[in-house]
Amino acid sequence: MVDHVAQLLGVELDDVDRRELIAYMNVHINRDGEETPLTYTPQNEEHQNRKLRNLIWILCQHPSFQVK
Amino acid sequence: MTISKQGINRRDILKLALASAGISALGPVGNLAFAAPDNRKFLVLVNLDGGNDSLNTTIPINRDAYFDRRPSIAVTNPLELNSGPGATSELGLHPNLPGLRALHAEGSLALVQKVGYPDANQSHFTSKDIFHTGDASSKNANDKSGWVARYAELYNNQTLGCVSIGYNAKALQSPNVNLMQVNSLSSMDYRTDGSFSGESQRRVDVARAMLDRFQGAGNSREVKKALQVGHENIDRIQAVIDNYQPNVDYPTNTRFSRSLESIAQLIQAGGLGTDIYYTGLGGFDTHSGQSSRHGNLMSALNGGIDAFARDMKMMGKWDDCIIVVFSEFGRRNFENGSAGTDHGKGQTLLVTGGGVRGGDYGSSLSDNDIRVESNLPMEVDFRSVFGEVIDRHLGKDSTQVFTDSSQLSGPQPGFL
Repeated sequence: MVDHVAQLLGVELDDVDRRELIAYMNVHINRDGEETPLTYTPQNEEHQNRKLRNLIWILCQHPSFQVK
Repeated sequence: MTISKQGINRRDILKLALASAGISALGPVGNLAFAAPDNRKFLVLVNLDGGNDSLNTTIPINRDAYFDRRPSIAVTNPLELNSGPGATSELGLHPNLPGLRALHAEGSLALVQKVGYPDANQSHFTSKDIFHTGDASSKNANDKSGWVARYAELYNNQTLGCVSIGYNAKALQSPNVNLMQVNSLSSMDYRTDGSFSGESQRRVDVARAMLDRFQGAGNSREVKKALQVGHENIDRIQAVIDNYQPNVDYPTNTRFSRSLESIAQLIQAGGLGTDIYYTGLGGFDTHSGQSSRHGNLMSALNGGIDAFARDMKMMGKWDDCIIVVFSEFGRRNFENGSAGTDHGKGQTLLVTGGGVRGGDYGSSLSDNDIRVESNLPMEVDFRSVFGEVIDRHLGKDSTQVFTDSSQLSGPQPGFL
């Protein structure tokens, strides 16, 4: 999912960024900042709202997206 | 929204991106340096986009020519301005402007008549460019700096030195400054997903880390810098939003009033070093069916300014505040065949604030001005109106901002 969204947005990720984003997608963070493992499932609507929207937001902060 | 097993496409991305606030908001944020809270004086510019019909805003109530040339759209029930320090028997206000009449009655609304610039251009684009750049030779503002940007470059060169909210103002654009322009202050609120506040905070952390690692060259390096500084200060913008205590109820049905409330939020937070706030209200190109459309626009204008003025008074900021309401041109003296009016030239500017000497300025409209001519005359250059505010309110030198020598001659109006 990380690679797919990055490709759609035209963002080139290095290995460190990619690993960090994959890690972000696979963790559940509650309002107190506590983490529990999560298996990201693309068809799960809560996962879309919880993780995918924020993934897009993060990738849109990348300079290579902002200058397009 | 359902996402197929094949993955998401660009349309899905756009839907999700729109649901995720803050993407566009961070673009213009760079060199975001906050000044200490202070009691600086400030200017609020309100741009009525499309060409406001001055004659149906400030009505020449004693001129028969006005009613003769506008048989179906003349305002027949204007609010009288016959009380208070700036009382006049010649002009009235549109009936949907009771808040502005109250400001006039207390002596803090100036009506500056016959405002324009030499050889007025009746194209929206060209005339807007001239108003944005302050340069009457402007045919395309893309290669000229905006006058607000020039002011910032000279006197307050930091991202929040001058800001626009809810209006995309070329006046703030220049290659030499990077001023904040946002649709709304709430777009800086990155915690839009209230159910997932932990996720929202983490995404900022991840984005910051990603930016820190980015090694770009050229333009992308500058973009990285702007984004980084924006991220560093996003918490302070967030604090402005969180700590805002509304003093008055702003109308919730117009973007204009919400923009003014955003400006009030910044001011309540100490002003953050801002001298000029820019906002606007669109839809004034009333070629047809003008009466109801213009009436609604007057209501929106009144609602926003009335709430903002009361808010500033309650904050104790009214004496530090000047509001100037203007448009790219006025409209013709006569109505057209579609119960509307076409592009004109001269206009009446509205100026209000605690330090304003209320009343009407510029020479009065004569019957001939309306009956014989197609457009209102222009005797007061718009740059002398803005210039008076820069010189006497902001305490800077307007001749450094407005360098175009082809201005209408004459003194500043004298409302300050």
